[in-house]
Amino acid sequence: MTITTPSAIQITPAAGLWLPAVSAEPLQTALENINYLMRYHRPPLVSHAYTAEHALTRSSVYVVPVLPSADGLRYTFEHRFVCDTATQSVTVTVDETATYAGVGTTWANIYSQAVTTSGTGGNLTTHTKIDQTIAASTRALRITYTAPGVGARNDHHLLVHPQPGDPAAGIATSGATPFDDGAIVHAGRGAVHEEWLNRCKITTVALLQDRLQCALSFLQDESNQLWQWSAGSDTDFRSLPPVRVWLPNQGPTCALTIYALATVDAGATADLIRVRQTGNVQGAVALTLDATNAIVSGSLAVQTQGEGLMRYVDIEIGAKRTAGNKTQLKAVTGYYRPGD
Amino acid sequence: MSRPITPRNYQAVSMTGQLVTWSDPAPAAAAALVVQADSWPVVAAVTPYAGCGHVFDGLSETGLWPRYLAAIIAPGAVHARAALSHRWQGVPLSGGLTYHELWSADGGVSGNDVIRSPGVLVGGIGYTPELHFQAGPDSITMTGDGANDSPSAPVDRLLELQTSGAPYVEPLYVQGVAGYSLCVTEQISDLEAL
Repeated sequence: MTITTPSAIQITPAAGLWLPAVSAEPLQTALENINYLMRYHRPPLVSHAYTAEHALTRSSVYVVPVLPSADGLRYTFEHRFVCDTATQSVTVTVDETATYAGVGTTWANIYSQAVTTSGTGGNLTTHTKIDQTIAASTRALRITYTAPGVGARNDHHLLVHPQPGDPAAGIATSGATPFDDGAIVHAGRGAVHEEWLNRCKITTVALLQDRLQCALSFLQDESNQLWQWSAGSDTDFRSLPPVRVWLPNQGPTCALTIYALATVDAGATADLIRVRQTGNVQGAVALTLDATNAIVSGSLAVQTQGEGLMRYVDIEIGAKRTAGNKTQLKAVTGYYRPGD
Repeated sequence: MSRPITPRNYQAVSMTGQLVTWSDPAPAAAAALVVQADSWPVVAAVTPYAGCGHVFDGLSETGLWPRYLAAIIAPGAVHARAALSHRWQGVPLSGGLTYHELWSADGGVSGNDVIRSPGVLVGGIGYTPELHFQAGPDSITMTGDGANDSPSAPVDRLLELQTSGAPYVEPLYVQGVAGYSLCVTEQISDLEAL
């Protein structure tokens, strides 16, 4: 039996959908498309643009809260940074952990690689690393960039997306089940079984809900934040600029799962981080999270605005401090799961 | 005959039910059921992923002005628009922001291919906006909604994307903003051409 995985989504012509009911096609194409989805459904697990000071001459360490696939997939990492001096060596290291516990965290290495930067100073360096497995239990990634030998470095963006191989036979942990042609080639001589029809939906839903879509992001250095909440006597919430999150065709109510990592230098930690929908939208609510130097999470209900592909919500991340103390927001990751 | 994309609102459909629940162990596949079965993976494949809202300081300190980033694009996309977040404080004349430059790699990264989207235009007489990150009024603006894939000047227009049958990574660039997100606004009109 063969598991056929198309390299591009297969489109049955509209007329082809009206062939005799017991023919192998168009159902075989539909079933092969779930194999395609198992390999090619690739929403970003991480899409974070770094906030750090200009012209870094030190190493940087970023901790990103994540919720990867339950299937222990292989992922591709794309790092973007700029060195102002040509042809420098910057070592990129990616680690993972199931439990973030500040400086006492036990990290497992995913990969470490010395990268030679662009041959022209000031030009973009894009470092792509494929086929790196992220364990299903991972809840944080640690990204480390070393200082270039000469000059300075500016950190721009990190993209991480699934890149699994061809699906293997059997039911995956996510609930997705690939299709092999061992049975359906005989469909011309018998009735099509309902399981084949249902598998098209069940596997699709399993993949949609297993591979979360990064919908909101903010990321600062674990130890050297460019921005802290520390100024003056003000202890009210102070927000970062709001940002628009696109949820194509979805709504009117959706839920985002928000993960945050923040800490304080002293004092109380409860409810110091706030994520909320802006724009005076009726029914908008706020989610508050603690700054305990652990990864905390909550669900934020949002009301989508706009129409069709341009359905959106405007989201604002804020923080506050207690009197005399600093709050340090290190990371926020917001995930969208279709159906939520 | 053509096959347009049929959007699916996952909030409005059952994500748990089965397509077929007959007690007959070997039912025939009615054409309508096959259409439904076919649509689930196809619609999932071509529905754009959530447009991630990136919050970052790309404006308040010399040298943080440009920002390279990237997005993974689902199959069937044609054009996109970007939402740009701004924050500013009114200060005595010091030179304001007249436009943001941005591009998608597929649309071209230099010369007339660079998109210029209007900057923040606020402030009273004698005041221009100075961009800030952590405090001040804010706004979100959209880049242009007109398709012009062969511009004769750097104008505000739709970002160009690859139209393919598999996801791909689109390199992006923007300058002078405090937040960025990409929205696929146009998809292929006939899936049979994909």
